[in-house]
Amino acid sequence: MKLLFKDLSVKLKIILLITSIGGITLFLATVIFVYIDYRNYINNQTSELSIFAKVFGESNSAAIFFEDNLNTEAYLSSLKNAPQISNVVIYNINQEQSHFSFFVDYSIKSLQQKEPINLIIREIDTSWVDGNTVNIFQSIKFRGINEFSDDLIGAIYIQSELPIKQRILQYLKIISLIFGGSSIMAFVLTVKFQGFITKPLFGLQKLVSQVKNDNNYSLRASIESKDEIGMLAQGVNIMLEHIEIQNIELVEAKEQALELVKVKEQFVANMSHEIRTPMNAILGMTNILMENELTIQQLKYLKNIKVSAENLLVIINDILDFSKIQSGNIHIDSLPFNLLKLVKQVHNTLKFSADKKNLKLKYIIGENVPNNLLGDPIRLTQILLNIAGNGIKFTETGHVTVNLRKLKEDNDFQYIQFMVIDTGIGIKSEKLETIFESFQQESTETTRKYGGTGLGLSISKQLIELQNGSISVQSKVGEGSVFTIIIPYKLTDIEAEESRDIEITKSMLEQLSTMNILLAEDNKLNQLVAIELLKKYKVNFTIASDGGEAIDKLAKQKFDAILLDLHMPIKDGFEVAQYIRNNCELNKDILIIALTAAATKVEIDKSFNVGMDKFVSKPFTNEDLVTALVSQSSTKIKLKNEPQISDNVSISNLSYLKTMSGGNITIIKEMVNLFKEQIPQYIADLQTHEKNKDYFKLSEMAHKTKSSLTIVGMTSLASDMKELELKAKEEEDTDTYEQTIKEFVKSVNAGIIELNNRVELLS
Amino acid sequence: MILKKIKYSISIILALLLFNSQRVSAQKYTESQLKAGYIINFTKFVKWPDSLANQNFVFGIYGDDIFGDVFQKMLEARYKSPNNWILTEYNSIKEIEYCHVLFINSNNQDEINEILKLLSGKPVLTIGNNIPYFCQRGGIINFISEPNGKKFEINYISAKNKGFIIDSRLLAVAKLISASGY
Repeated sequence: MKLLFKDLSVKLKIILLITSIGGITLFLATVIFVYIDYRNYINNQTSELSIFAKVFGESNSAAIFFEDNLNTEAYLSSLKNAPQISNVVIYNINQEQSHFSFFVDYSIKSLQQKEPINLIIREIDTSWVDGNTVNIFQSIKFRGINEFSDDLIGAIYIQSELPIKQRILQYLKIISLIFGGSSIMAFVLTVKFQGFITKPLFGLQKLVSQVKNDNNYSLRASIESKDEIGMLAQGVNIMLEHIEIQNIELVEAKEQALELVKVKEQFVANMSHEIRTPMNAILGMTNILMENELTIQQLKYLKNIKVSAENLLVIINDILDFSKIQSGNIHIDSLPFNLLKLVKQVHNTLKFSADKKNLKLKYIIGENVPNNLLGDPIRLTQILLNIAGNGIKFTETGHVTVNLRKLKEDNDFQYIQFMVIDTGIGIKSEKLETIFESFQQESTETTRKYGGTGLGLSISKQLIELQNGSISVQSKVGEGSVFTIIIPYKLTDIEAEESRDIEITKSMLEQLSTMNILLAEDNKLNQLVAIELLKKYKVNFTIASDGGEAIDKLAKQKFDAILLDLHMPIKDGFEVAQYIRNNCELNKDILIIALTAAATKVEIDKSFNVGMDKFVSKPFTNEDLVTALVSQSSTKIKLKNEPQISDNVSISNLSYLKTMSGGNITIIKEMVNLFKEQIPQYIADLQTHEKNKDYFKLSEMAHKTKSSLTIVGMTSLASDMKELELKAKEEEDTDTYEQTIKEFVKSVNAGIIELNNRVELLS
Repeated sequence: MILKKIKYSISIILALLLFNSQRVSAQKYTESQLKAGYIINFTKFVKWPDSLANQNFVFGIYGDDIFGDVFQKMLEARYKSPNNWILTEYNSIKEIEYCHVLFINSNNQDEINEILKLLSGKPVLTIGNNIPYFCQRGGIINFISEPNGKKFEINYISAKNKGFIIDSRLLAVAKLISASGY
């Protein structure tokens, strides 16, 4: 791994840089110094030697004149005191001054050649360095006492040893001393003072990583200087401030957006309720009216009202679905279902409208199409109804065919292709691309002629895509259209649970008849419903009218299962469940089935947390209850796809009671009678609690009343009671309770009269 | 460039000169040549009293003239203008007038004594040619012949008395005699 300089920390970089720059400059300075000093040294040596030569020569001028070499030799021997001088040769000039000749020499190391052979190319009065010697060859001049000019009387050659080695050693010592000393000094000082630069940088770095790790944008860098780092710190602070402000704004914006989504969802839910309730009234009343004796004209009008209302309901459902998809609130189930049966159902549903137009409605199922699949059957039904329904709508003659085949399979997925082929009016090619977009139909003319919102295909497409599928269309104007849908499904071994059409088998009945069940339900009407059911299947049961009674009975007797209402006086369902699981040795492992009218997510979660096994929404059907009691596989809870099931029940109608009792008029009558008996007592209680300002009991009473109202289909009044229940629980708007109860009394009495009429009509 | 060339040629000439020089060159000279050279050189180390400075240099010879024209030639070789040298020969003591240097070449001791007495106290540099006890009697310089020894002797006291200043370098190569003499 190569360590690059740029990857080193700033601290190290500064230390290295300063130390090395210091080192380099110092080295250069030292080299220059050494060079100059060496030059000076040589020059000094030379000039010293030159002076010496001059003096020496002149001192010996008389000896040279008179060739007294003895004297000169004696003189030269004094050079022993100057050990650096290794050789001296003196030459004299002959009388004619035509040439030099050897006069005398002195040498420490013997001079090989007395004659200055090595001076050949040298000039007189010159000096040179040869190896580690300085050499000088100088003329000896003499001016006589009485004369006015110098005479050349000879020459002197001096060789002086230069202690270069010692000098170099000395230089090395000095250099290493200066260099080492300064480098250490520079290093120490840099290490000590680099903090001026790096400390604020490290501070910044620490801050940034702290901000990064903690996401805490309220931290600020401290600004200690006005240099670049100070400015950087200031910049970082400003950035942090911006980010902090932005974050706050973003959180606010997000909260606002979420709030908006909630409001929108609430709005949609409200709309669903607010629109469907009157629609149900319209449809219900229309139905009731149609049962009366009418003129043909009146019947015709009523039929028109009915058709319009049904169309309107479809449109409303479309819009609700669309808004659910838009807000991402739609959930795609993964349940086992039977494809063949599903297609048959779709066929049956559409058969009527196809027959009305004299169209052939066919379905063809390929041999390799699997039956048991895992997916969302309700959505598939919706899609097929929409596409095939469209086919019927836009076809005047001919047929509509649904063709199924398995396209391919990979990674556990079965790609099922549904082709819906019609011989209708077709779609213009330029419209094919936009036909799946929201609010788009083939033309505005189509809208006028065939009606619809233009949402059906868009909803279908989005539902298909939510299931990882695809839809495409081919069409020719006047010949017809082919819609091709491909959806991947997983295979499953589990037989589809057929909730509504479940056939209660003999074995199930046998199993039921052996069971011993505790019914914990405070509402008499609900009790009656359950009792009728249990009697019908010959189940042994015991009744408890509140939570306390339930606990007493559980402590004394062993049961196989308990049907547990969640909202009861004394002890509610959750408390009872907790008691069973924690304190009841006898019935510790009992099957607990929760019964509730208000199936909210919170309640469901709470139920499972306290140890309940199953969950059945009220009002329930025979099948719901039997399945919950017997079916081994259904650890799964069975939630209604429409939690606000009450919306689908007409105001004061007997459809629920009819379903529940299987059309047994006696039971219906008994139920209605029970309701009529209960109501005065309920009203009295409500009024008493209101007067006593006992809002808690008032809330409980309202809950009870609500349950009874639901069973006889008085939905609107039930929702009034629900509102009262909730308000009283929170003690809100307490001054309105009296009025609410008054209005309720009025309406419920009218409702009872209506109920009486209905029961009479039945018989 | 030119200067360098000149320097270079000088070097070569000089080198050739040196190369041709011979150690035995001293023996090539005749005695008269040597002595003439010595005498010329003596004058370079001696300072005459102020009264005699800046005058033509009078060189007198008494006795046998051993020089002939040697002196004249040597002066011409050494000096650009030998004109300020005046060579005079004295045949008798009476002829001896004032001169800067007097070379005495005689065996006549009486004459010598007489001359020395005559010049006593006068600033005349007397040079004897191998005259015994010349310096002891008040002569200033005397050529001597000692094997491997000094070639001349000097009576520095006498020189001092006559007002001469003699360069110590000259004294260093001479045999020194100390006597007051005449």
